[in-house]
Parts: sequence; C-alpha cells; structure tokens
Amino acid sequence: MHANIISLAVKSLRFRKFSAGLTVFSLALSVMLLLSVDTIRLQAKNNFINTIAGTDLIVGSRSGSVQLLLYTIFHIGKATNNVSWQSYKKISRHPRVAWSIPIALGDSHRGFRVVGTTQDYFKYYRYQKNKPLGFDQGQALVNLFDAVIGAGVAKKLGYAVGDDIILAHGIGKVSLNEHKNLPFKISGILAPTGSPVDDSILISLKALAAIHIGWESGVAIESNVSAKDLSPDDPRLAIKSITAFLLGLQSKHDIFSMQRAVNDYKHEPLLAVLPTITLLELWQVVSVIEKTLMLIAGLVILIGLFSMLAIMLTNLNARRREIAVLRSVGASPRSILLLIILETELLVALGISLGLIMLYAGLLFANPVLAANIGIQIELSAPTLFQSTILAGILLAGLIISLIPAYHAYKNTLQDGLTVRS
Amino acid sequence: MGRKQACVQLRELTFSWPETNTTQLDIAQLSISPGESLFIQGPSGSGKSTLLNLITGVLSPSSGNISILGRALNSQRRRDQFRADHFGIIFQQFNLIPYLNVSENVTLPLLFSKRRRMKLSAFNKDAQCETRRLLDLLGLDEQGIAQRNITGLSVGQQQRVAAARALIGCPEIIIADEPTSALDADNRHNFLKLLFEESNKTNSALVLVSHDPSLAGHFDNAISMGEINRARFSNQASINRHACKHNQPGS
Repeated sequence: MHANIISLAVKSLRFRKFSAGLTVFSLALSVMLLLSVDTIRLQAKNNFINTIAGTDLIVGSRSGSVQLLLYTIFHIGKATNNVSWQSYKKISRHPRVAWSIPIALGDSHRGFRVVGTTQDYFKYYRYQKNKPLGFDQGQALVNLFDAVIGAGVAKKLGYAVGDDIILAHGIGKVSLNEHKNLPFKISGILAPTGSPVDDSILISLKALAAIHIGWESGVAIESNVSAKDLSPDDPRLAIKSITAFLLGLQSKHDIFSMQRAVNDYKHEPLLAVLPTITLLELWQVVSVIEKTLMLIAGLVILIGLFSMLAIMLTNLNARRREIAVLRSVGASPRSILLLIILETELLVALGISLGLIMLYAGLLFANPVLAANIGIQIELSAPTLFQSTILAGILLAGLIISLIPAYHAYKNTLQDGLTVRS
Repeated sequence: MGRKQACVQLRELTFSWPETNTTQLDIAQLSISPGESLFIQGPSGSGKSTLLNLITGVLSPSSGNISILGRALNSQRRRDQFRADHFGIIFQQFNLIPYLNVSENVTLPLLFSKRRRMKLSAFNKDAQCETRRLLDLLGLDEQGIAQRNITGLSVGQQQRVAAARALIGCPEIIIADEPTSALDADNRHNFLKLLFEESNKTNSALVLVSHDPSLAGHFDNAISMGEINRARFSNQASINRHACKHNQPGS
C-alpha cells in the first residue's frame, strides 16, 4: 500500500519534471553552498591552527602573546625588542629541547619579509599535518648570499632560481634604504604551503649580519662592503641578536614546564607561547565572519524550502481533480496526506543528494587548482557529524514544511469528496 | 426488495454540512439490488452528488445508516477500503490521472484493492491482459494504446478508459455520474451500451446519475431526486447556497 503511494509520488514528480527539477536544483545549490561554507571554514580553521604544526613553543622578547605570534609567524607588526644570541643558544641547548629555529626579521624585498634563519628552518619547520617544507625548484641555502623564496613570492614577482635580488632595510613596501652593495642570488623556491612561508624570503643569519655591516646605528653610514670582502669566518658576521625562535621539545609533556622556565629566565625578559592555543584565540576573532557565512547559507536553505512550499501549494489547486479520482478508486484521506508528504520529501531528498554530488564534484575539480596555487588540500571525506546533522535537519524541515500542503490537500479532499469544481 | 440482500441499503438517512446544520439530504429508504440498473435523475442542487458521496462512503451521514453488501461501515478507513473493493466510479470528465499512462490508469483500483486483484487471479487473468481485453472491448484497440500518455486522448477515449478502470476486477457496483454529458449523441449511445453489457456480464449493479431524463428508458428502475429527497423542498434556499459554496457540478 505504501509502496504504491511511493510509486505514485515518483510518477507524479516525473510528470512535473520541469518544476520539480527546478525545485530540486535550487535546493541542491543551497545545500552545496551550506556544505562548502562549512567545509571551507573547517579547512581554513585547521589550516590556520596548523600553520606551524610541529612547533611547541614560540619564544620572543616579552610582549603580548598574540603580538609575538603575529610578528614571528604571520609577519604582521614588529617586535619591540630582540632576543640575545646568548639566551637563544642557552635555551636551545636545554636537554628537553629537540630542535630550534632562530628567526631574525626586519628587512624586506618589495613588500615581502626577509627571514634570517639557519638550515634548521628547512629541516624542522612543519605546516598543516606535520608536512616538511619541500622545494619546487633549486635547493636550500648553500652560499652566504643565497636566498630561498616562498612560492607566493616567486609567483607574484615572477622570480626563478638564479635571479639576483636586492634586499631593503625596513619592512615598508617602498624603501629608500636598499642593501645594494650585497645582492642575493635565489638558490631555491619552496613548494606552496598555504602558510605565511609562501610570502617569505629566507636567508642565513650570517648574510643578514653581513648586509647590516655599517648599519649599527640604524641607518647606513657608509656601506660599501662587497661580497668579495667577506668570508663566512669574518668576525663582523658574528650574530648578536635575533627576533624570536621556535622550539620543538623532546616530549609534549614538557611544554608547560619549559614555558614556565623560559618565562622565568633570569638574564632577559622573555615570553614563550603555545602557538596552537594562541592561534585558537586568534581564530575566535575571525569566527564572527565564519558564523555570519553559515547563517547566510542557512537562510538560503530556508529560502529554497519556502520556494518549494510555494510551488507545492500552487500545484495543489490544479490537483484537486486528480485527488478526487484517487479517492474514487479507494485512496483514503490519509493516503492523500502521505502522497503529498512523500512528494515533498522526495524533492528535498533529491535536492540534498544532488547538492552532495555537486559539492564533491566541485571539490574534486577545485582540489588540484587549490593545491597548485595555495598549497591547501581539501580532503574529500564523508560528511562530518555536524554536516550529517545539518542534512538530517533539512530533511526534517522538509517533512515539517510538507505537512502544510499535505494538510491542505487532506482538508480539501474531505470537503470535495468525489466532486470538485472544475 | 427483500428477495435477496441489497448491494446498497439506505435507511432514514440525513445529511447536512457541519457548519450550517441545514439538512441537505433526507431519504427515507433507498436500496439497490445486485445486478440492478438504476437511473437517478435530478437537476443541479438536488443533492445527487452528495448522495453519491454518501453511497461511496466518501461522506458520512449525519444520521441514519447505510449498509453496503449487508455491512454498515463505521470507520472512514473501512469505507475507503470498501469503495476500493466494491465500487467502480466514472465521472463526467477529467477521470484520469495525468501522470499515469492508459494502462496504469485502468489498473489504478488494483493498487488499492487486494480483493479486485484476487478476483482477477481467480479467473486466471493477468492485469495487463484484462486491461487489454477491456480496452479492446471498449473500442480502444489501437496498437500500443495501453502505454500511451492520456493527454493525447480525445474526451470520448478518456471516458472509455475511465469505464475500463471502473470495470476492472469486477466490482459489485458501478457508479456513473453524468458519464455521457461530455460525449456527442453517437458516442453517448455506444458508451451506455457497452456499460450495460459489461455490468450485465459481471452482474454488477449500475447506478447512473444524470439531469437528463431521456436516458431513463435504458434502465430497470428510474427514480428522481425530487421523489426521494424529503429535504429538497423544505430547504431549497439552503441547498442552492450549498450548491454554490461546495459546488457540486455535473448535477
């Protein structure tokens, strides 16, 4: 009996292919929108929180934790104070420390930040789910005046391995103080990571010291040192300070005791922060946007459901005769109720299915493009629990909405019986 | 009428729409015997359609009782099942479900009635064969007509498909509400002839309702709504109002 009503509902929808198809398509679009907003925000959050996945602590001079994170990792703002090289050496040799990456900031090239560091950067830096840095072209720093550039820099400035670049003092987009005397040669281009590394230019700490010979007062007094005059052992290349450093610990259990130890460091006021926690704090700030987007997507679903309701109600009047015929062959008012509910719910179910297909097809298509350009890979996985709950919620909303035309049809058929005005 | 059990038996039946309480139908007694052909004549607003809705169990009476094949039907559910099992109904027009093809329209009652399916199989008939036989009999013998969309059929063809649907599975009572008024004179005659032949074969009672008294001659018995509906004259005004409001066309 119910199987008969289902087959009637299917045939009835097939008969109204065009309007049913449009309803399904508009529901599918709204479902796809909602799911893609949810997928992207989840991915963006994960990506953001895993910007420096392997790093247990970020250490810098004492300031705010968000500030420290912003300037060391995201290159936003700048440090008020440096960390002395002695302190860095001392802490990085602590037995609980597995590895450390020094970071010295302050210079730039056409708006992109220059990061002075060591080979350890390439060895230990991790992003997303513990991925190490890879090279698209070339190799890590070999010669003193080698530079490695991120994928974003290479793309935006059109650089290739072997190109010469001149670094500028300061971090402005336009700088009048350039280190013209010591050009760098690009030795390697990193693969895209979807993190701020893409917009970085990496050079060695010694090279950073070299271009600042004669700049000790903060401005160029007279700087005509050339690469030929400098050997890696030159005493003028001794590193005196860095901006911050990243620490990886032997064991995750040591994070809090190590953080305390750094914060209590006697010789210099230092601050150690847990990047993941600070990133989460930071994410809270942008989560308003994410919530707004979800709200809008939810409203779009609601619009889709209501336009479906409008179409069902409009059709109902034209179907009074059909319903009277069904009653005449023995359909009960409850069968009519069921028929309309099934038709409506079928439209919703088809809309959800098509929306899912469109979402996955879209992701499948977008993934290679995203991976090549911004280094983010959106995983194709089954809907999350949250997404499944949303989809179940849409089905339920469809069911509730279907009661409106179904009740109208029920009431009409009780009143019409077998005789309808034609 | 006591000789054998009546198909349909109405006693002291009244009906009024719940919101008005003015009696629209008041019938002392009406019975239809198996195999009988009965003509019910009456103009618009005489309560014909209400009577059909009551007999077929779509409406329930305000007072009095109806028994169908000796059984009083108390619940809506049982009345719907009874209609599926024992009635074949033909309307004036728009008889067919637009999204079903000819054969699906003819076999529609079988979806709702196990009893009519069983009857077919008792005679060793398969639904498709029986559909084709009935369509042939009613002159719808074009190649492939069973699979055709009903929208391509003429009004006359549609009425014959409706007749095949009413006849399939041999229901005990065939009810036809102005079935011929959309047909021209020639078709009208043929249509009625076929209806009589087929209902005779299966010993089904045939009840035909029309405003047109000229059809009465074909039937065993003829009555007019004016004779049986005691409410008619006392409540003429209210009946007319209902006729507008609830719009019982074809009456």
